Amino acid sequence: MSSIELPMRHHSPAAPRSPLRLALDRFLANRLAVAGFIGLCFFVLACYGSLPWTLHTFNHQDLRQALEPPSWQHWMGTDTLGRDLLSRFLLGGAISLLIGIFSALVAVGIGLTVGLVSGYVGGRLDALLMRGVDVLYGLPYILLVILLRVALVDRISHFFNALALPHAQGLAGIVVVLVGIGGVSWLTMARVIRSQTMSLVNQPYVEAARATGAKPSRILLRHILPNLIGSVAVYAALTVPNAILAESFLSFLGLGVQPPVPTWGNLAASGVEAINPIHTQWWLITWPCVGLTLALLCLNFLGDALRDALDVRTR
Amino acid sequence: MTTYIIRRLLLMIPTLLGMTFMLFAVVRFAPGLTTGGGQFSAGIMQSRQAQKQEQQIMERRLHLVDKNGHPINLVMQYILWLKSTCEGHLGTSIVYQEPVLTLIEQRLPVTLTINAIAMAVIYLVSLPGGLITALNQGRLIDRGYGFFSLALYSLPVIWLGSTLLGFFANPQYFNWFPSAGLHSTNTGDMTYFRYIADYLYHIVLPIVCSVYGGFAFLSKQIRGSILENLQQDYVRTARAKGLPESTVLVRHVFRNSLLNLITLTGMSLPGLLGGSVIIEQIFSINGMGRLAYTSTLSRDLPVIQDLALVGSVLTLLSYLAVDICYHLADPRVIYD
Repeated sequence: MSSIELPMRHHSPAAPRSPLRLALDRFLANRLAVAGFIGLCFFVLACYGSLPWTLHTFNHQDLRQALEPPSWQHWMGTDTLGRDLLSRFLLGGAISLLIGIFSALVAVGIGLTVGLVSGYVGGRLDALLMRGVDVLYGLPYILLVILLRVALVDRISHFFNALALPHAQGLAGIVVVLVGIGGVSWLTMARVIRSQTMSLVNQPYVEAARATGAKPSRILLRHILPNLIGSVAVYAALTVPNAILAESFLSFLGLGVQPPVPTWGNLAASGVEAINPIHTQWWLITWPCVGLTLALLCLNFLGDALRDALDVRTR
Repeated sequence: MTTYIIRRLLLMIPTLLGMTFMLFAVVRFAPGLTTGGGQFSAGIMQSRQAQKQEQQIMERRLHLVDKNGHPINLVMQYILWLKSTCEGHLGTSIVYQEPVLTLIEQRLPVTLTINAIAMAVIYLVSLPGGLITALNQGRLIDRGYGFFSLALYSLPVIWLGSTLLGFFANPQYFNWFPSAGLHSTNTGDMTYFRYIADYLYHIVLPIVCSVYGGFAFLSKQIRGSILENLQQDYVRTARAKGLPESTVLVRHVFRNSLLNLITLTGMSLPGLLGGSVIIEQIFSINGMGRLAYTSTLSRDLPVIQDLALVGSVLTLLSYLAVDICYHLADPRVIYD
């Protein structure tokens, strides 16, 4: 009944809270983001936890059981070659997430380096690098991926063969898609990092650091980079779902990871082919697309909340 | 301002050269160059001799070899291509055996119509959406709108597209829309308006597919810039001098928020002509996206090069247009 009860605080208001702590609080207050995080954890656990099983069964064909609808034996049904869709779905999820995360890493690696150097050094080098980015923006990325695939797949799969890895061709396809998507996603990143670096370089504390004789590498790594972590995290988080989506587009066009290695993208693509007016094998397209949608939803909620939490502008 | 525009136009030239040369090099290094006769005109009927002759003509036309049949190096090839392009000769497609300009003329209208309608719908929903969510920040409507627009954004278009096709253009379920094509068979005896209506009816599903994912990003941007403007001093001043809230919102906040939209809109202008490969592929529409895709697959060099040229010119021009519009809308922005 007491009406003057103060809201409980976990830490005293006097204690200064770090920006990271503030961001974490704002992130946790966003229930959708937490739900997205939990959902994502669930996908990661399911897809990667089942790897020991799915790696053995994903390509096991049984033509007598082709195109079975979901049943107790095959929870998601079977495909045209009688392969268990559940194990293909789980392995496909693992590969799709892998492509998303590593493409984002490739994009962050290149974009951060180019953006930092361009923004910090400025002048001629900046102009040159940014014209380079403009030029790459002009290249249609499907063309780039097709060419990468033609030029690289054989070499990489020879390399994997030499390492005696199983499914060398499929693995090479994954690497090419990953490099191709990462190689075109860094452009926006580079622009954003560049403009932020340029505004940070003029801050008094950077000037002070320079006045005390700090080397450029130290200024970049200790003074500028920590202030960019927020935008890097946001862009990386938003690149992951876009990369997964890009892979599914490429697969739909037949340019992505090639079967029998599954991804959600190429499972969905082969499900689309299975739609016909006579027999609707709904499970072939529904499961991979549901997986794709839910994972993208979780990732987008996460990225969106991260942007809200770290972006000082919209606080 | 005029000097600025002229300088920018001059600066465009090296970028354009870089873009086209890069593409030129990439395309010509690609294995599997098509030089043989067109897919449709060539044939088994032709003798070896005739085929070889046709290939030689094609190679010469693409500047791969000189008059005596000696190969030309890449830089020289590029210069020759540049020369003929500057003289106003766009290439001729190897596969279709038609000038690229004709191909673009055939395919641009449908892509442009779909994209323009889609863009209009996206703006019509996102502008009020962004405004309403910003004014109700944190309330149910804000969170609900955010949730649904992000959920729509997360739906892969290959799923929604093929499902729409499977359910609404299928005699088994709902045969409401045509599954492919752009016209009915009896267009000959239609009136003009009937013809337009028929055309629009054929592109309803592709438009739906191009629209639904676009709300999230644009609404979020508008919402963000409105929230930012609401905290500005001039809004407090406007309220303090007793202006009605609607005037404050529309005349002060909304107008200033539209400034941020210039960049977004400008950047999306070249995309209007691009066309989505996926959507055009799903609905079997012969638009620009599909043209670029098929000519990439078949290594139809003249088409790839000219499409890229048109694309990069448009991109650079819209960057310039963005900067000029910014200056016109906000005189504080001055370029030196």
